[in-house]
Amino acid sequence: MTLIDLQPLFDFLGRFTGGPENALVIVLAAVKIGILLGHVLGIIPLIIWLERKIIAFVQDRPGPNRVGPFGILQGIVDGVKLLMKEDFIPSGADRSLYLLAPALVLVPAFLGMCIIPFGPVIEGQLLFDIYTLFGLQGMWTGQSQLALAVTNPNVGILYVFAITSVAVYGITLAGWSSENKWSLLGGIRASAQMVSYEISLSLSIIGVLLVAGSLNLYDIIGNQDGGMIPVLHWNVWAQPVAFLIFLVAIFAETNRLPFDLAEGEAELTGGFHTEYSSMKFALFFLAEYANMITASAICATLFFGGYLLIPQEMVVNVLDGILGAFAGSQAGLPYSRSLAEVLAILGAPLGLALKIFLFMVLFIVVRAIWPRMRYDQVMSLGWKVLLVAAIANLVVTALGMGVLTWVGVARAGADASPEAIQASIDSVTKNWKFTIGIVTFAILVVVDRWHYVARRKRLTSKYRNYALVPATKVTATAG
Amino acid sequence: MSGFSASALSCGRLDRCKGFPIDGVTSPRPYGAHFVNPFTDFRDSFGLKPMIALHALTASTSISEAYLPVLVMLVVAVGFAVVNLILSRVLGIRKPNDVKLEPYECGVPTIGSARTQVNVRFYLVALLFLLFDMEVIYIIAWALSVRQNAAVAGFMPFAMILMAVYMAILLVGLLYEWKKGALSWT
Repeated sequence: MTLIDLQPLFDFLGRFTGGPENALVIVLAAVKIGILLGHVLGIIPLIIWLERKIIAFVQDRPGPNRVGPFGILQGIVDGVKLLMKEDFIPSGADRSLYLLAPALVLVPAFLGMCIIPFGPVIEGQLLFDIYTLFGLQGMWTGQSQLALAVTNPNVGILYVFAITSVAVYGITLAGWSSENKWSLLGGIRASAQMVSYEISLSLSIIGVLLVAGSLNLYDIIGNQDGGMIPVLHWNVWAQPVAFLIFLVAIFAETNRLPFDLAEGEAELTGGFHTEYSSMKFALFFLAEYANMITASAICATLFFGGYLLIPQEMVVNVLDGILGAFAGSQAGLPYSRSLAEVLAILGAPLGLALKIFLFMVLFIVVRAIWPRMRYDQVMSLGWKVLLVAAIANLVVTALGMGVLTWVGVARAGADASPEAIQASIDSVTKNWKFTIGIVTFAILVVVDRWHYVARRKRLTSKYRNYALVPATKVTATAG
Repeated sequence: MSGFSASALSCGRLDRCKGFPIDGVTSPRPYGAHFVNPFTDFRDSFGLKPMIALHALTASTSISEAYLPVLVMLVVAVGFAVVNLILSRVLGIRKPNDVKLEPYECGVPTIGSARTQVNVRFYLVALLFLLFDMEVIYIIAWALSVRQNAAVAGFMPFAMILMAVYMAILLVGLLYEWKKGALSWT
């Protein structure tokens, strides 16, 4: 069944893009970008509203409650207000760099979102049906794939690092070009902090790469799928220490509390965006939230199975049962299993959205309840704790994978074919990867307790001449 | 000879690459379908084979599939930023005066330029970042290579010994930086 014949259109577009296949890629990318940006830009005002509400709840005040029900439209109104605000450039500023900086922060934030896999890869008969619907049967090859991600490069996770690192330039340039001491300090602080935590971030990810064996995000998700309960295959069980390091590092990378030294309003007024007004400031703000969403999505993909929540086949079977029974009861209603499959695919992004939402709530709650750290504390946490922990995690993971590989080879038998050996290794590493998690987490707990006890001992011996006042007495005198 | 290390960065997985031409063999092909002796064949893959990865990158059809969408997103993102900047320029009021255009330093009159020298520790952090980031890139290539050649006999111990040596050098460097006080902020 062909709904509309788009083949002539793509033949025409193909003249300018070097072939109808490229035209198809570009048009599909435009559609996917539209959907992605529509959702992200639509959700950011709501997230900002939610953040203000949650912080208000923690601080026992009402929060925004005037615009719309419960003040839910506050974010949109703030956006319009920022658009109408005066747009000025300080007299001392380097004009071109000053204007370039917000764009240089926003563009990497948007480009980083490209990689988020928000749904499964469509291929085979279902994709052929979809191609047929638009009259594109001629362009379907046996290997055609439609990934529900804007792009799916083989380098996968490396792409995110490469792109998001560029944002450091934007922040540094914003701080330097404004000709303001607060801005300069904020920009320098932000850049030093972001590069420091990027090391721990990428080192923690290598543990996941070792477990999953691929850079490609779809491969990493596929490695976390299987069985009736995909939750058991999540990488967070195999790499709990890597997850904790990653979590702390993304807070620092997105300049959120407790690491928002770059814009600590108590000391630097606004940090690198002190001199920015109107939409230029809004672009920084938007980029921060876009980065938070990207970071949450990457974290969900690497450690929590991405869009997978319930087995896709189970969803398809249930939907097929319900829809098939309904179509059967209504005489003459055309129905095929493809409809259930399409609905299951369209529902897949909900799993990712749920995980992103939970991470955003975590971001907000941490901001609400955590005090800001001192800069030397931030740097020593990054270089002396997280870096060492990430290297230790990597070493233990590598040794664990070595042992699991050895077990896999031994299980396959001495005279097995290479394919059989590889299959055996794959199944052993997938089913027993949680043992690595248990070992690494146990080591973390032991080291943490040891460090705590040692520190207590050191401090008590250092301050043993000071009389310690019991806490009850302090409250009694204060009252 | 397969060139297993050369393929690690060009592809997420060797068998996912369409038309990956190595020695005239096109994929998909299974893991470990070739025997490699790491002690004799390794120098080939380091010395001669890296061109294969380059060739695969340019010859593979999936490159346009993967990076044309990024190009589209780049256009959209730049367009979004430029349109917003122009819109606020057009819609916002503009009444600049000398006081408004001064740097905002909490009402205190500005003294001197803001483009002064900053603490040398920031440069030290940048240098350390460069060192460690390069190390991370090598470890990523190693991690993928280990997983993709796990079935090759003798590869795993060889790779583990290599990494142990590499890690030892890295840790000695880290210890030196620590003892020299490069990692302490105060």
